[in-house]
Amino acid sequence: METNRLQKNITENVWLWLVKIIAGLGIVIFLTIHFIVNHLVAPEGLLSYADILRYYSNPIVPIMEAGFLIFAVVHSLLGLRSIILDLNPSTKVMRFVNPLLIAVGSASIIYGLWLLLVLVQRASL
Amino acid sequence: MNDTIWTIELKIFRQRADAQRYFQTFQIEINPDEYVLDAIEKVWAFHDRSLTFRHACHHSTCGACGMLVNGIEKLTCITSIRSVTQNNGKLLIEPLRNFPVLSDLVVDTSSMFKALEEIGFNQVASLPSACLPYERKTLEHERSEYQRLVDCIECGMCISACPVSLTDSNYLGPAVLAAAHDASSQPLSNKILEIVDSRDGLWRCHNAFECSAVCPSNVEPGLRIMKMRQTVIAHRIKKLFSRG
Repeated sequence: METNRLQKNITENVWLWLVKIIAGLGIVIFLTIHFIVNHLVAPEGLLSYADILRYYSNPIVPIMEAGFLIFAVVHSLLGLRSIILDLNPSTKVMRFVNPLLIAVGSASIIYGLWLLLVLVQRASL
Repeated sequence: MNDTIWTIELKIFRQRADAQRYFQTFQIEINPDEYVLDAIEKVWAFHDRSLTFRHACHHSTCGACGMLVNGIEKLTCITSIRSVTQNNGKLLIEPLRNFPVLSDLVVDTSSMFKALEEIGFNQVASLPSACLPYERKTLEHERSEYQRLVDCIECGMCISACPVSLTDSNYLGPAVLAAAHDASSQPLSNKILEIVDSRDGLWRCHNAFECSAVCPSNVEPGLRIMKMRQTVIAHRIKKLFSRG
């Protein structure tokens, strides 16, 4: 039982793959919207800090950017994990890598969301 | 076939048991419309009888003569000299990758055959399950049950080209996963599920599609792996909701 549990730590599985694919699809959708809005919809582009704040005053924008942030972090870290697995790491290494990736991902998302909230707060002033 | 004769240089991988590996060069004269396997046979017949290589049918049915020709997986019995070199040109011949070398150009593919057997791979299948999704199925009488040989000739070239097989020798590989897709046309059995939805199964594939690119029979192992993933995901989701 213990061996099975440890084996699962160093492998890909159906759910991680599904999450990676959904996140990848999310990136394609949000990045497309992001590019269109930034370059075609925003008048003369977002060139100054004031432009950015005005952009973030639209409530849809921070929601979209938060989604983009989460999808990008999740997809990239799961991809990085796949690459690490290709290097045939030992169970011991993966027991260290898995929590590290979760910590890096969580910290990146929390920091990104905090920045997003700061921008939204300043935009509302 | 015309009467043109080319002079080409064959640089062939040599290795005996645990001895040091090296390359040996041979110059031969050959008609460019002949095949790479013919060139290797000429080397064996007229230059070095100790050269070992695998061959049988000479018409792309047995899958025995898969090798690396100039670094790319080719079925040498159907690869013309003209398509891979030129007059006074060179040819680099090596054994398939990702299999242990037994001798010279002969590799040990037994791991692939064992896995194929375990997965329940059948050489003959009903027409719908033997055809790819985009292939046209020609049924003369709808009620008739037609069978045909499946496309895979078990040459192992897909495993040789697979970048994941290169890094993980335990990975089942494209041939076996494609066979699992064939075998799973019926409701997904626990046995197949256990094999493919495992550490060395479906989820290790990086979608490089090198397997599909080198497959001489258009089996499309890459596409089949994707289809198999869809099947397993649908099965897992269904199972998840049926619990509650």
